[in-house]
Amino acid sequence: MKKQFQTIDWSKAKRSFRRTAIYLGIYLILTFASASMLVTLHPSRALAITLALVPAFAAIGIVRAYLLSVRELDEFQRRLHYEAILIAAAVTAFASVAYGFLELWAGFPRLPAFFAMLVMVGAFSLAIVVLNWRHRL
Amino acid sequence: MTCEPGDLPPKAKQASRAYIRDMAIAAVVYVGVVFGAVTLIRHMPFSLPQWAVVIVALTPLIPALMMMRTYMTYLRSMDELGRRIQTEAWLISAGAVGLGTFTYSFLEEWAHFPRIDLVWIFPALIFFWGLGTFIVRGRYK
Amino acid sequence: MRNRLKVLRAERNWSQADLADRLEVSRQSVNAIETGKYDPSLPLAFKIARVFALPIEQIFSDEVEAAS
Repeated sequence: MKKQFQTIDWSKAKRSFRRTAIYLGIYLILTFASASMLVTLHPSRALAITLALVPAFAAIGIVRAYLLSVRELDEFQRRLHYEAILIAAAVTAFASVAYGFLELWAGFPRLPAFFAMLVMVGAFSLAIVVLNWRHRL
Repeated sequence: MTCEPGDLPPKAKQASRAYIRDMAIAAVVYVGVVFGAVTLIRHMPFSLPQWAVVIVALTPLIPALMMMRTYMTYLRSMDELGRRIQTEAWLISAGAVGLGTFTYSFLEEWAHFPRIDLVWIFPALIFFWGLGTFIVRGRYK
Repeated sequence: MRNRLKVLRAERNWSQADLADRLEVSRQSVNAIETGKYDPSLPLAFKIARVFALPIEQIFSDEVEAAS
C-alpha cells in the first residue's frame, strides 16, 4: 500500500501544530511570569527593561516554529506563504500610514506599536487562507 | 534599489532610471502632502470640521500608493533573480518590523519607553527592505 | 510555460495524488503546475522529467515553442 499525499499532510501538520503549541505555551508562561514579576517587584528600570524583553525572546520560539513548518512545505506552498507575507507587509504599511496620520492629526485614539504587529499577523492569516482557497483542489 | 553601473541591458537601465525618477517624485509629493496637511490642520486661522480633517489626514496615502505603483512597475521589469532578491528582502523587512514592533510594545508598556507613532512603521518597513536588499544581494554575488 | 503533465499522467493512469506522491510534493502543487498557475523550479522540473522518464522539453514548452 502506497502512502498518499493528501491536500494537507496530516502527520506533518500535526507535528508542526504541536511544535507551535509548545512554543506558544512557553511564550505564555514566560510572559505571564515576567508580567507578574513586574507587578509584584516594582523593579528598577534596568530590570523592567529585561523583563519586557522576555516575551520578545519567547516570541522568537514561535517564529522559529513557523519557519520550521514553512521549511517542510513544498516549493509551491512555500511560495504561497511568501506571497501572504508580502501582502501582509503591504497592508501593514498602508494601514499604518492611514491610521498613523489620523491619530496624529484627527484626534483618533493613539494605538501602541503592538497594533502594527496585530495587523500584520491578521493580514497574513487572511491572505494565506484566501490564497489556499484560490488554489483549492 | 539602485542601478549597477555599466552591466545592465539598455531596457533595464531605462526601467531603473524611470524607477528612480518616479520614486523621487513620489517622495517629494509625500513630504509636500504631509507638510501641506499639517499646515492646513494646525496653522490656519480657521479650523477645519472633523470630517475635513479626516480626509486631509488620509491624503498621504496617495503618494504612498504612487510609490507602490512605481515599485510594482519596476518589479515587473526585473528578471527572475531580481524578483527573488526583492521577495527575500521584503520577508526580512516584514520579519524585522513584526518582531521589532512586538518587542518595542512591551518596552512601551512595561519599561515606559516613549510611544512610537504608527506613521513610523512605513519608513521602518522601507528601511529594513533596503537593508534586506543589500544583504540578500550580497549573498547572490 | 505550457506542460503536458495531465496527458502524461493519464497515459500512465496516475491520479494527481499518485504523481504528487512520486514527486514528494502536495497534490495542491501538482494541480497548480498542471493548470499553469505555477512554474516549477528547475530541480522540481528535473524530478518530473525523471518520474516520467522523458526529457524536459517533451514535458514543458515555453510560449515561443508553443506558438510555432
